[in-house]
Amino acid sequence: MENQSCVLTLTTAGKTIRQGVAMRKKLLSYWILTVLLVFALFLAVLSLTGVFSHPARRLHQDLAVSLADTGSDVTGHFDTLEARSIQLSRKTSEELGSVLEPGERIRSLNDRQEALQALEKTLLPSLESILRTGQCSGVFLILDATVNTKAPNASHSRSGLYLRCQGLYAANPVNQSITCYRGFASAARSAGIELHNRWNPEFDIDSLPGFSALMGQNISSLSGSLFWTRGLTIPGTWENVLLLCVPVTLGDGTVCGLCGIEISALYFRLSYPAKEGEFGNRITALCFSEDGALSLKGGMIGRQEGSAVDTEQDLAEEKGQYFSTFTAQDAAYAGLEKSLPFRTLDGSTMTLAVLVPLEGYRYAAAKNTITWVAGSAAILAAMLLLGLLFTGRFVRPIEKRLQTAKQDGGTCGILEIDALLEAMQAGNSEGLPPKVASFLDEFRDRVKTLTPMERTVLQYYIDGYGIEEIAAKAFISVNTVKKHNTNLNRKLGVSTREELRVYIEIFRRSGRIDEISYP
Amino acid sequence: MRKIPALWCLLLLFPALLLAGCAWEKAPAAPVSLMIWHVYGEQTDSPLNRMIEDFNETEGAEKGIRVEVTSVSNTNVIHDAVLAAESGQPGAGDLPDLFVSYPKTVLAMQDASILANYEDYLSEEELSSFIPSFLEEGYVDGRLVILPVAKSTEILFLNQTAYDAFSEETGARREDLATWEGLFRQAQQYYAWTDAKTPDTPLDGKAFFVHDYHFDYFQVGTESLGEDFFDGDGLAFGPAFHEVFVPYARAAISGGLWLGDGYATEPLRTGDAICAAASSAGVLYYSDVITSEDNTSEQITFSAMPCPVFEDGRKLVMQRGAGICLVKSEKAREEAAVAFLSWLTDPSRNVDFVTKAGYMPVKTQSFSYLGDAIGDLSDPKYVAMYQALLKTQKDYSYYTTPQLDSYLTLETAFEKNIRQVMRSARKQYISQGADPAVLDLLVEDSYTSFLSVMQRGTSN
Repeated sequence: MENQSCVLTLTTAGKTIRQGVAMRKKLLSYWILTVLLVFALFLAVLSLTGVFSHPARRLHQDLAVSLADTGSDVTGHFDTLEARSIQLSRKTSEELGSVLEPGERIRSLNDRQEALQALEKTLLPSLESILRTGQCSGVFLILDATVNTKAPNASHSRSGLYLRCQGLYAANPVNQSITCYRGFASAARSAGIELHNRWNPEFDIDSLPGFSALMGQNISSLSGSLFWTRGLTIPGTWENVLLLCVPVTLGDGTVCGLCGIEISALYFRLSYPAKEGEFGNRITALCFSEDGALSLKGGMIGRQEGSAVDTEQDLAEEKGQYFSTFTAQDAAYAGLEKSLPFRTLDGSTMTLAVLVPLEGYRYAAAKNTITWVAGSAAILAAMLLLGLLFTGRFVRPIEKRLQTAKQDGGTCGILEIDALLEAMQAGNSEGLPPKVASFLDEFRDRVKTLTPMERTVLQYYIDGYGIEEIAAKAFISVNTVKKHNTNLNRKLGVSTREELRVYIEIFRRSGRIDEISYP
Repeated sequence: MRKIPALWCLLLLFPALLLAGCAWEKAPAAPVSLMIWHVYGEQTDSPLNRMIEDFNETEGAEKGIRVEVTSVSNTNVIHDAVLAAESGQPGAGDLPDLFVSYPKTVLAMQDASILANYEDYLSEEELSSFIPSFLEEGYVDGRLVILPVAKSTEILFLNQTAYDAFSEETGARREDLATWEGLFRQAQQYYAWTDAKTPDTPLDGKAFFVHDYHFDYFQVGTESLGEDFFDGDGLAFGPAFHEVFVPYARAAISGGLWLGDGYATEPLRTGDAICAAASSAGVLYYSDVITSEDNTSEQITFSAMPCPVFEDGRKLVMQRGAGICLVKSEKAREEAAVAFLSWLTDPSRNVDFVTKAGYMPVKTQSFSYLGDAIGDLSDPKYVAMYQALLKTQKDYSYYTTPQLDSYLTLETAFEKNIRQVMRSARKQYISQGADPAVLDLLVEDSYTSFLSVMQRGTSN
């Protein structure tokens, strides 16, 4: 019994292992393939819909949109200021026409304090109106004449008006407090305007680039002759300003002064706030480029919200596929730039740049990569873990019930497998290899040749009894049983009792035991 | 079976390894960006702007704080901007994190609870390092909402060059400027003296004196004579007020007092007045050059002395100098703002700041550094001002304005009406040939008129 059991157990166990591993492996393989397929599809969909696009491409899109928007704002802003300044120039020319005789030059106003005062009083409301309409922080008018040619500074002192906002609100110019930085105190006081703490009656034209060179020239078009300066420090103050200068002409087109507006660094900052974005705050920078080199010197910076872009630096630009890298002395920015169509005094190109700190971009890009990789790995791991769990849950009960079915001949609970077992049990002979079936048939035929006593002994073996037990049951001696055994072995063609037992077991296992048993 | 757990362990480990590998890329520190509206420097070179730059580059950079100046103006402009922003007026913009304010601005706000209480951030020990009277002014409704960073008082500034010429010809004595009575007498005298310079053009004399805040003159003057200036939410207008009014009005109607709007620096710069009672901080704005309409300039020297008092009055002077309010926001922002203010009021650094702007430091310990700092000053204007300031601190008591809800309304109405009434009386005086015989009558008439205008104006 022990040897037989061992053979069967090994046989069964061997089959079980082979069958279990195959089932698990196959299920797991299918599951992994499905997961990978779904994941690949998922990535493909994300990629096609742009969600999984490259951070550099996204930054480019961000910057491009921002540059287009801000560029449109700045262009509209500056165009409006140019138009207003041209209007002021024309108004001044008109007033000069009423003060000067035909053919009289502007210098004829030299030393004519009352005439100059009257002119300023007349023009002051126009300047104030421009300032109150907003979009600038100051407005000025300079004439190529001085109130006192005998004054020590007369050679570089010129009469005019300069009104500036005090305490800025970018959006509410109507309630702006205005001061008179240059001009007759009497003219300012007559309009109820306070004097600036660094007031003077006249301009020092040495600190105004382009003024002297333009005076006396004959121009055909105001719009073709206007220009923007780079940032200047207003003498006596802490403020840097950009000036838009439009020539003022006499009737014959001779330039006799300049007028225009001021945009202070503070005003620009308030007007162009930083915009929050995925890669950090986008900063607006108005720069100047000359011979391909970009410089913030004399430029303007919008609100920075934490960054510290210094307007005293040059920017080394390195163009990239998606954006340019701008390197200053102590910081680097990712950005895009475009030229603005405004004429500058020194011939440099006014350039608008939208910048984000490069550090912010790098961090966002790294974070993006980490998020995607970690997220993907986590999803994959979670799906595989689920696969393992599902495979186990599916295979384990099948294995268990198969084992039970083998041992007890019951069912395993899986419909298809139970049907298979049933079919195997029902058609056992058909299920045996032909050679084995033939052996069994021969054995069955030999059983029929046995004497009744020999059949009885065989039956005892079939029922599982040993020699001594058979002797006792049949009321014969052990030697008699052995003698029957010898005949049995000879007639049945087996050489040992173990071989006989194997036959009996095969008959039993294949469901044909009845064929050799007593009816 | 043994390979499977190993597989999924590796899979789980994979992202962890990746994350660890990418950890070198640290998140860039996002600095707390604070906006400030201040008054220190206004239109001129701003000492506070330079301090802020210094802070941003040093302690601010270390702590991740960046202070951005978005307005440098005067307290009147900031007052209007704060109220406009608080009430959400169109185009007013948002309130900054920090703004310079007097209590009158806080009292005028619709909801002062939007301001942080500094007691929530500064320990008792830290608060006790401030000069108590300076700190006291910052309490509104029991909450410390205004932190002093620099304090000033009123000082008498004098264009010494012009005064010397006047004194030489008329015998006017500088000592007489120690009293209001003496000052206003000299104001009348100065107008007559300058008028006489151009005999062909009558009544073209110049004003002698200009006051930053006429309301302050009346308030401190009345109180110094032992009478309450305020009566509840209104003004008392008692006998002492009349006593303060008379010499003032005589000078104003005679032409010796500047009645234009704006700060005292303006007529001094144009030579339209030569003496000013103004904040010590005004020293930043005075110019050593007087420029006339005809573009001629004159180099001058300034002198300074303590503010005049009444002959029968106490030595009382207005304490000025606004403080800084902190608008409530996230805790981190508020802490950052307090960190900046603590840096600014550090005893040694505070002296460095205030001596560039014409103020007094706000901490007791700072005064031990003040002497050396004043000794290092090179501008004679600043030296003279600080000498006057130290003398004021030694001899005078400081007057702080009461916290009345009606204070601002009263001040605005007073400043406007007193100038109007005086200008009107001056016109009348000129129309009557500037006859000194009618001066006293006009003074009394204008007094009656002023009281009537004020009572009508403030009862509406």
